[in-house]
Amino acid sequence: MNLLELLPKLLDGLTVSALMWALTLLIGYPLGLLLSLVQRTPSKAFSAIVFVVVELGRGAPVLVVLYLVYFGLPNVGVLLPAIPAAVIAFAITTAAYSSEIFRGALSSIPRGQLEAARVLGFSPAQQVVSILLPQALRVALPALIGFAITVFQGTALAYAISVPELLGRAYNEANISFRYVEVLAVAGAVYLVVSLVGTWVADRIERRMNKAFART
Amino acid sequence: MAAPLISVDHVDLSYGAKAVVRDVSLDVARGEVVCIIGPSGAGKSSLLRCMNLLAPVSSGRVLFDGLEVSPKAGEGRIDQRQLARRMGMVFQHFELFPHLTIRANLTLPQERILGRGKAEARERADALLERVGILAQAEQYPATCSGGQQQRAAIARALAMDPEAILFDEPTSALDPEYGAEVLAVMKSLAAEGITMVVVTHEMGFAREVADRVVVMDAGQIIEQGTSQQVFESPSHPVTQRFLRAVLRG
Amino acid sequence: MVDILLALVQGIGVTIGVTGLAIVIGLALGAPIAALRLSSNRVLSFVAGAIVNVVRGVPAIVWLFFVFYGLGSSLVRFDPFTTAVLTLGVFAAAQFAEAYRGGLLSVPRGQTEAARVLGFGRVHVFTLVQLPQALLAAIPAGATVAIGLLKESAVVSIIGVMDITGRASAAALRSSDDILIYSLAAVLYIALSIPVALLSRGVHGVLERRVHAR
Repeated sequence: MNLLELLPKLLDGLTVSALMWALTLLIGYPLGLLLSLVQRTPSKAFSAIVFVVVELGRGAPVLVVLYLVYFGLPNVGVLLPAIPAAVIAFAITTAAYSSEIFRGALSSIPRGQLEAARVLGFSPAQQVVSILLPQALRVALPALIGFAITVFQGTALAYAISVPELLGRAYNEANISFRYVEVLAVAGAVYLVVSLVGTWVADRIERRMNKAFART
Repeated sequence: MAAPLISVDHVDLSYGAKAVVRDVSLDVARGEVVCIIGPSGAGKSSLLRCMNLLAPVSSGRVLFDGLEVSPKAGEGRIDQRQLARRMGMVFQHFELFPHLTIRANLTLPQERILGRGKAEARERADALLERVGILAQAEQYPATCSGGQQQRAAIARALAMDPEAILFDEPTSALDPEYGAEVLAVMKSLAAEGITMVVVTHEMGFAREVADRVVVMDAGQIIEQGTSQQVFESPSHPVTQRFLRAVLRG
Repeated sequence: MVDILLALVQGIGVTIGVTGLAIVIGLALGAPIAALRLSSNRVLSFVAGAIVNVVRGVPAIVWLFFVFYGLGSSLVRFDPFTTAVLTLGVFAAAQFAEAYRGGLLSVPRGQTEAARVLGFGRVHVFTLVQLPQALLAAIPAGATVAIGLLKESAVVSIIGVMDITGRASAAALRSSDDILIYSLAAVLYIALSIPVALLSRGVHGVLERRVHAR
């Protein structure tokens, strides 16, 4: 088997990886934002809960969280197929990590901005939606893109629960052809390309943002 | 004599254990321009901020048009939202919203808070931008404007709410002198129009020329007040004398 | 629950071993790589940069597979533990190299200039002025790398290393208490990261006092 025959098979795997990646971000990032906003409320109980969730989500290895969701949930009657289980596990971890990104971004917006909004008559909710979030999200964007790359690389772990993603397909093909080095090298190269392109995009975006929205 | 528009009544303000404003009383009449001057750390900005609920008062009250300024609305009280429609503020660091164009900085509050329609808000915004001399920058983002342009935009933003009074917190302290001059010129024209203004400033020239009344603060208290002539030409309090000597020398 | 804990605890030594050895390799290997990246020789710095980007651009688990199944079947046959240590060690080196580089870049140029003007030679400038400040700045990033490695080490269980996760998987096969097993495993990892965080904060504090006389 040569490269031309291999690529379409890896492409199938890549599609699954990409699908998991997109779903993870779609669920994980809003969840992370929610966690960081809850942390800003004066309620100590909520802050404590968020703290625990975030520390667990960041402190536990992703693989362990994955096993916990896929093998553990059936014990309480929730039987999930591999891909949804993987997405849930990755999303939990993503929410935990991204809540720290959002937290830093939110607190980087000077208090003066919110004071100006208050004085103009914006309600607290309006302050968050119209003044705080638009600025904070722009600040957080480079870090979020960077982390999104990490998330994509993390999808490789789904191999452990037999998801037919990129690494899994590559390993399969390698087992059939015994060309381990070549096949795995190609798979690695795909991850590398994604990482390099993603980093380049993040750099460009960060640079453009610095130009347009620099604070005086 | 008509009732004062803003009335600070025996107000104390502390940050933690530190008393920043101590038993201060001050009345501002409608249409009056009051300049608050004094050494750094005297509590000038804090006093200003307790007038619009930005700084919480530990004892005493603040009244606006006879209504008690209070976080909660109610009979005889006025809360932040209601106050916003009648009194505006200009900050030392402008605090324009950097993610909005200059024009949008003016139209957004009008649309969201005052409920004006898009066309009306835009008309009003453009008229004000023209008035402060920056209509040409309307579509630009604050970061691409000079400090003077930004502060004039901030003044226009406050005016867009049609306030009866505007508080100025060291409006020119963050500006190069040339830009400061253009902002002071705008403020001068506002004063001539009869808007009630309370200005914390280090610009003695402005205070001298424009203020109806000058209030001198030191260590959290008002040590002296009077017309600009009284305070600048014959200050009675030793701290005022020392302060003016140091400030006017340079 | 106690018997589950006992089963997992046996894996702690392996986890610490893999992580610790990888950190040692990473710290040692990362320094010259960082030095090369900051070298004035364009070719050297580009190559070093490429190495860092390539190593970091591929997930650790893919590297593990590549070395264990790929190189492992044709070139040299290492056992899972050794493969894990070597692979994670190189992975760590790339990340530590970035931490070192960040630390060195953060030393204000004025510091170096002042030292040169005072007459210090290149070597002294490096050891007396740049290195202490660079290390100080690099410690937080380095701690993040170390803790990250601890968590990343869980993947070595996939190639058969009986670390905490490996033990957990084995225990889960025999029982139906998966939630408890994996939760305990997670808690163990978190617990192991605490000394690392505390140690780094302690070292950072000591260094800060000496470097900045705070």
